[in-house]
Amino acid sequence: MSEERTLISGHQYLGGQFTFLYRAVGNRLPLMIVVTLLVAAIAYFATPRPAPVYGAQASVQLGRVARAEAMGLQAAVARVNGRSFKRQLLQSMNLPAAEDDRASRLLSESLTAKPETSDTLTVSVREASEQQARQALDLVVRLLNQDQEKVTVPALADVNTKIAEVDTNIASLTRTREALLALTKAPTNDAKPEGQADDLRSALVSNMLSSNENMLTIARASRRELASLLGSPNTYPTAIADDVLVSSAPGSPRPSRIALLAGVFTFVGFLVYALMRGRRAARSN
Amino acid sequence: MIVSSLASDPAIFALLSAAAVGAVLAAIAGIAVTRPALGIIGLFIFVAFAWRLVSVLYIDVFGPLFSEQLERDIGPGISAVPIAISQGLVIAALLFSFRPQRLQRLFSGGGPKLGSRLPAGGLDLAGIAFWIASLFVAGLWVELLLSGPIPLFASMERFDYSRLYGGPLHNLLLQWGPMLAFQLGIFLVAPTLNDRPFDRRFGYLFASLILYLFMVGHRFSSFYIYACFFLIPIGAVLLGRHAMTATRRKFFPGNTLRNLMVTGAALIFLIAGAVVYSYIVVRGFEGAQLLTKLSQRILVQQGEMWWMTYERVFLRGDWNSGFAAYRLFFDPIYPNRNSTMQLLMQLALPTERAHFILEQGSAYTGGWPEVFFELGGPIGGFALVALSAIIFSEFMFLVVRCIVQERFATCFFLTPIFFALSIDIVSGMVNSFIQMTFLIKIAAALVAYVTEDGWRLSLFSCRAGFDPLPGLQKEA
Repeated sequence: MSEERTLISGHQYLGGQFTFLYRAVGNRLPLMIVVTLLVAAIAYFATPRPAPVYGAQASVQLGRVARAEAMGLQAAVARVNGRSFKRQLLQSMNLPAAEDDRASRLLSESLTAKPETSDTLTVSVREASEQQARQALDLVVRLLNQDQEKVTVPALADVNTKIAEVDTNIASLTRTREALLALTKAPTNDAKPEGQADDLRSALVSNMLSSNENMLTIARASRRELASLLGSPNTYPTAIADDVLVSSAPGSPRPSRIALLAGVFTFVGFLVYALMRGRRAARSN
Repeated sequence: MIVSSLASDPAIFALLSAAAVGAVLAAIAGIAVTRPALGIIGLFIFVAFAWRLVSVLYIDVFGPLFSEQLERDIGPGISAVPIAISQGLVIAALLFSFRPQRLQRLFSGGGPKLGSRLPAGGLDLAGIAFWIASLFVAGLWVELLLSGPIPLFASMERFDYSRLYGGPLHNLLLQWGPMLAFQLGIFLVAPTLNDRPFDRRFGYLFASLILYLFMVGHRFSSFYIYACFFLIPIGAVLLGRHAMTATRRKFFPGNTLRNLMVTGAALIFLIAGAVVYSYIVVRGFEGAQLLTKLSQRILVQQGEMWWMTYERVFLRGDWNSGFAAYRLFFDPIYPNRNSTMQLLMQLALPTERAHFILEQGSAYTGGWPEVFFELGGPIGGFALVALSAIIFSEFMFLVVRCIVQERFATCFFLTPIFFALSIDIVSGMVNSFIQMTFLIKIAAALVAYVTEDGWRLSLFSCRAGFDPLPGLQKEA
């Protein structure tokens, strides 16, 4: 066999196949196109319009009480992802727990929490309406705050008790200070000067005043410290840290896509059928 | 649970993992020795399988190990057992699809060759393919020289080059490169089907492509995937020789073996050089840090994502088919990229970190069989793995059949589907299967197959000089 004969002519190879395809389809092409368009149109109008689904996502910053975490990050993530939390959420939204309810099912299947930073988690949820999605995120935050109340309420009460004790102490020290000041200013007209005894008393009162001053300073610092624990940088509830991001989540396929698919499959089906007929004809010859 | 009862004896863990890994590696080695052609065809998956297995075994035996990417400890355990079973299913499916009797039937047909049935004239098909590919490769080089700095000399990462300077041809190559390499491989071996030598022009084109990738900062993964797809047609041709002869001399005629070895050695040298250059010059690692980075890259990163799936699905029973399917098919972060690794990274990492890494265009290694266990759980996952193995191996046989029967048009249209299935077996990418474009590719491949089959039938069933389609003419 010569080398020339083993080379495959590109013209013959590609042209031959196009010719085969053209002859196989032949005059059926207009019919194929009409039927394809018809099938696509039927598919377009017969496809049920998908109900919209909205996805909402938010960064939730976990609350603190007196600088301490009200709930650990991993515990919060596990809590939100847990079934009991989802049940509570459904109850809070007045949704039935039944699986056949679309809103309930969407919520149960989609509610997820993931750690984001050391004290924030990302919570995402899908719902049938934008309002419901936002409401679900708000309720997640509220439920987390309710859970944290077991820790936050006693902790706040403890700090308040300490503040009350410090306030009492400050009041007592203030009264003592006033008494000592009164002693230093007390008129001694009727008394005779007693020389060294007076000096000693003055020194003692002065010393006690100084000590009282120190204790008062410490008590006031302690008061400020305790008060600062209740301030916004150290005590705050769990809250959504940033704007809630709501987007229209993909639901079931769009009618145009279904129509396109139906059209493509119909046309390819026709084409393959025509080619198979051509193949049979070639075999029979 | 079995695992917890064994937890007290790490030696049993290690033995079980080592036995499972050893069995699969032995099977791969057995194929390489006794059926080298099949080894070449399956090189892409066998290398990936072996590397992942070694990494998983390392994590199982030497754990707990710190993973830099996951920022946590992983291992020890018996995570190698389920992944070894999964890989074993793929190997079994391949051996079944490429069973000797079937190959005998495929290659013993003899029959007239395509070239002998077509009238000569004009440009030959290989010539047309060569000029089109040459224009593309030349365009790539021109684009590289005109578009800005050359990453190799500017110590630039390939991602940065693609993002900042990559032109349309460069982006086209990144998207279709392995498939182009596959086509080059087909035309390289096509003359050997007619007992003529390799068409070396396509070898030079492939070498030029590899050199281009080297210049634009690519390292192991690109060379590996391009080379494997280029080698598949060579394996297909050798498969025929192996089916028909048992001697090594006939199996590798002439200088084939020597040429293959020289090419392989050059490619390995290039890969080693590219990796060393990337780590030492581009990224500036040295000393202990370099060793740590290399050990993480080679021994930890290949198996760490499987470890996370194993821990979630097998140890904690924590898997959610609905959630996984939703994230994979309906709501991935980047729908045009592999959603499997996006899902796995979302499950394994804090959200912000996963998003940050994905935003850079990067992703971790792995995905198969993780994706099927995330979808099907610890039992159903094996069924999905078996299904994917059967589809892949049968499709691979179909591609090989088309190569040896000189069905070039069908091969051309089957290539993207074959590529998607191969990527699925290595990185678990499943979202490509539901894309409209993929369905159109399947439809096009089906039409091409039936057209070429019918045309060949008409060509081979009529005598030379006669119209091959008389019946059709009548119908038309």
